[in-house]
Amino acid sequence: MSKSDNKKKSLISQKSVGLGWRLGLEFVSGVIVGLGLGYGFDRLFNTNPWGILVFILLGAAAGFLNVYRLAKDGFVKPHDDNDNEPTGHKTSRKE
Amino acid sequence: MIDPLHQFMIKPFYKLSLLGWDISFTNSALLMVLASGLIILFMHAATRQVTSGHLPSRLQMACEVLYEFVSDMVDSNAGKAGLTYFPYIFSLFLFVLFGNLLGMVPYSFTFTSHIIVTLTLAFLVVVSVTIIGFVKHGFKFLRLFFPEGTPVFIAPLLVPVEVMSYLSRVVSLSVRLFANMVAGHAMLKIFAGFIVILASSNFMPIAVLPFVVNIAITGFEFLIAVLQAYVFTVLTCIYLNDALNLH
Repeated sequence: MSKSDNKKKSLISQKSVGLGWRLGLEFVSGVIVGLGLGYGFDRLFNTNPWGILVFILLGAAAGFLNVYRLAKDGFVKPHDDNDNEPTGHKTSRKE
Repeated sequence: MIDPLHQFMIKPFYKLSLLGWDISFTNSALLMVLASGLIILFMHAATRQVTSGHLPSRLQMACEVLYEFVSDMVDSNAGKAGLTYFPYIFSLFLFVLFGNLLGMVPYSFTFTSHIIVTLTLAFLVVVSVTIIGFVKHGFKFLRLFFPEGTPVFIAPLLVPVEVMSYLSRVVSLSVRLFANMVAGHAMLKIFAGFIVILASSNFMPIAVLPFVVNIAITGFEFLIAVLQAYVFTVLTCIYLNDALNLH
């Protein structure tokens, strides 16, 4: 129960807060892309509500996919640091 | 009266128009020119007197720290192959960093607090990364949207979702930077407004409280300014890595 223990704990929780914000944004950005594509589709083909309806659902699915991917390799335990492979997860949880 | 969003207003200094488009020289443009100019000046001054055998100057040390920081970031996130694109990533990092930090100067303007600026930067990143992917892998790059071994019958559902997930990078990259800058600067103005309101009321001594909070937020904003430039660059490296090494 030393001071460094406490510090480590707060550091981890801070990282998790950053990741939490990022997860929210990842989902919303999927929906926004869906909305934009749906609106464009409707403008082009004059299919008024249907394009937005379908594309928002697809966009939400894309948002869930983003969240799933980030959660899968974003929440890395503090011990299994693997510096050999040049993938993003080493730094993506640093935010 | 006290409008916390007033600071984000675009004011044209010199009216210009090209083929009916408004391309006036605004305060945003002025700060962008200033940021680019300062970067060039800083780099030029830091590397002007590079002599071996002597102790490097402070400016040169600062420049080297920045350089190594970004090159290590590219190396650890995108691998050795990513270092080819280091000049672009370094410029991007410095531009966002200087934009965020110049916005912390009183009475100045934060150009990264406008969604159109960050969206353009993010769009440039994603488009160039896509082009790099196609150049490196040809049409095999499209495997990113339809991984090998996936049953064909879910393709109509999987491919649009994957494409949109890819496109959502533009939105999440730009909105993150823009929202952080807007939120921070608006918060500063709101607490500054509390100081004025309280100081002119009967509860004058309480005005110390928002003042203390404002000092803390100012320090925090400097952290956010650097951190968001870092996050923007790291995510660029991660996207670059996706295009260079297909999984």
